Amino acid sequence: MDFLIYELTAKAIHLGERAKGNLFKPCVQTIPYSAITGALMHRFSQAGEGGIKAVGFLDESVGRNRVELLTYSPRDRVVEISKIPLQVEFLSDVLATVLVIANEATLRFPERFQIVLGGMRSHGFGSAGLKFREKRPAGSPRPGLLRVRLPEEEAAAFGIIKVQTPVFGYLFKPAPGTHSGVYVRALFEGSRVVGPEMLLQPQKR
Amino acid sequence: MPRDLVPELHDVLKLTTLKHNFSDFDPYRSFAPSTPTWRGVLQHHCNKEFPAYPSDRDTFLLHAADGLAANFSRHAQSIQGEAEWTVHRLWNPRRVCDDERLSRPDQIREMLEFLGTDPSFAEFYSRYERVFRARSEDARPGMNITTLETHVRLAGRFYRFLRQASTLAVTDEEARTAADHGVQGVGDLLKRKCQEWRLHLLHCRVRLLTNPFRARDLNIFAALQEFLAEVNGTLGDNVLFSSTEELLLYSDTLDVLTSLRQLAAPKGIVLEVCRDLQRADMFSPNFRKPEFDILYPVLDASLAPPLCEICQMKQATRVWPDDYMALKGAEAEVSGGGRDLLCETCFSIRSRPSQLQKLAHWDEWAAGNVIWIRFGLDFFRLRTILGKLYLDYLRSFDPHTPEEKASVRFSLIAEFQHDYESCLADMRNRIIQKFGGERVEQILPDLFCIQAQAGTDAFVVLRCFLDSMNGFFPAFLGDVGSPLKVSLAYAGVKHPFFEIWRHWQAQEDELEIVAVGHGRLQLELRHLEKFLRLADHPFRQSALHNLAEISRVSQQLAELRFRSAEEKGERETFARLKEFLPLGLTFDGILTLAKLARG
Repeated sequence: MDFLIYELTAKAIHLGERAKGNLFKPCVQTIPYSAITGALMHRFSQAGEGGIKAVGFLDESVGRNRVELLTYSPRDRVVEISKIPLQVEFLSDVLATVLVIANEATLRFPERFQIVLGGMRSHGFGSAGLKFREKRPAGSPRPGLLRVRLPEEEAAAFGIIKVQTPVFGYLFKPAPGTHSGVYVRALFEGSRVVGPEMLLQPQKR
Repeated sequence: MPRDLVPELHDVLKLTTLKHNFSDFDPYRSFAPSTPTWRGVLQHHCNKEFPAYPSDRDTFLLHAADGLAANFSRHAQSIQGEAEWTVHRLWNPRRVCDDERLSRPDQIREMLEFLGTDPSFAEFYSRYERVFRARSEDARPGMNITTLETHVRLAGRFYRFLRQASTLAVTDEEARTAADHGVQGVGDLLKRKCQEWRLHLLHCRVRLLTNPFRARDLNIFAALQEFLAEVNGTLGDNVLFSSTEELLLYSDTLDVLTSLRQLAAPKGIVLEVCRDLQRADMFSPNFRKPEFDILYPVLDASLAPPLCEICQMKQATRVWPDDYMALKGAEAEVSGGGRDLLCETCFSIRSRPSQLQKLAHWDEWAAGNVIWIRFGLDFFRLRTILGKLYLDYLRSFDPHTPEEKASVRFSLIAEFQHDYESCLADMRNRIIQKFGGERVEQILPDLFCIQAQAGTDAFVVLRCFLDSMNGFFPAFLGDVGSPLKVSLAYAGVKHPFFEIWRHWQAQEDELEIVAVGHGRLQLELRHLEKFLRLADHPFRQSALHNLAEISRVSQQLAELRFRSAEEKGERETFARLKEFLPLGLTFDGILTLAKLARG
């Protein structure tokens, strides 16, 4: 199995969790399978269902991926009043790595392209550029801590051969051809797995 | 009918100045009780220096429990010197106790007579608490690092555990047959059993699934306390250490994980478990081959929307506040707008009546600020630091003591826990004394919210912490480092606590101050005293204000101004602020300090 490695850059993205207490909408600090795969599927709809599988993680470059807050008040246009102000957390100056499983569909991706990722798009968030870096074999699996989020059912597709201690969460899985879907159990960052080096946190020396 | 053997009373002779091996006991022989507990006192050793040895299952298990609870490995003894009858606290060597042992014949007779009434441990302890707290478990030099109280309580736990442990069986017949072969027979049986017996050591880190997003969600901390009380209640004899963040347990089977999961799940709590399987004769707080588990509630493979907005781990089946109002009728009190979709667990936690009455009141005080402060503890760091302190102590007797001699045992951890809890209580009292009860909301024994009138109140809280640390753990303010962690946040009363909480989860520094909207500073606790002394100086307010205001436009410009300090009025203030730089503060930290110090 090979991964296509892309560099993702964006001015600001909001990869949201659910709003908390109608006051605060946190932003996840990774690029989950559901977000990046959904965005790529939307961009390359001709790839077909199941043709694209991708995950991502934020790079640790100094000064990049800053967590910032935007306060805004959604306006109810019917009654012409503003609702309670909502604080939205977002990432600015984003630099991330996206790993796409190489297959017939994904190998046709261009060297550079734009996608729209995450939420708050009407406020200018989410426009991201992807630049192809290299194609690299997944390599021999090793034990380590996962640095991406992906559905449990997709673990094998990414070369994860064993899940030792899962850190669970849920990711949204859209039902094809509808605006609905289900939440599927997923492996989150910090899960102990045996899998490809690229999906794992760097080993501390 | 006599009471069953009370294991905690096996070392009562250590409360006196009599020799532990009964060699000078003859004058008191007529006062010796004839109870199972006294049999434990007589027979819990297996050594030719002692007149008796374990003769049945109970005394055999007591002998085994005594070894597990000892503050040293029975196999590694060598230091010679004068006996130290009082305890030397590694973290507080200045705290010296008087030798409280019973020395007068009438005192010893009275104790034996009382023991003859077959008291419970609680009854006996209430009468001899001072001696239990002052007497070292082992008086040999270098070994006097735990109190007798800690040892006997721990031995009691191990004894009850060994009696009930399904996989560590010793039959009465085995024990009696061994006793027929004398000291050698019992010693051989213990050696064989301790090599056969396997114990699981489990370190559990507590994680909250129900994060505190609204004030009512702070009920999760009440649920956390209930959980800890239930663990200490139902699994009390398996608990070796507990704080609000961590638990250390042991068991002979992994069924304990099921029990923990059953207690944690309804409270919205997940446990991250690190476990190690150890031989009983090598049982120690070191995880040699750790394995990991996370104890979640039952999680479905897929969930239909909507997802619970708090935990995001269950389907949301409740609507807040609609369902709450329908449930409570006219009694329902709901503040704040908006609707939340919640799972049953998060809904039940939010629906509890809040114990935090003051905080609810402050929420209406829109102009105000609060200080959130949490005192955390890291068990693994604690173990390492105690090892270093113990090595230093042993090397004060013999500079060539090898590192492996300074092994940290469970009794030392338990001893620490006793002082840790006292330290937290002391901190609470100091904070209440400084701010007044009306301005302090205690959320957990180690988590407080304080109504603040100025940013400098943060320094007052830290002074309380420092004073308590000086009283209980002065060694942790030295170069050896601290297993205790302080997290302080200065924020508007309406600022979501969740953000602060989330930030605290990732804190690695010993002390971190977050001034929400202004910045943060990190500090090692060894510098805290100097930091507070410097922070106490009156700063020129206009200089601090200028610095803070310039930083709003450009942090680089503010740093330039700070470094050059050309304005006459700023020179002295900035020079004083520069004294913080050797303490490891960055410019960001200095700026945060300046913003707090200006009020």
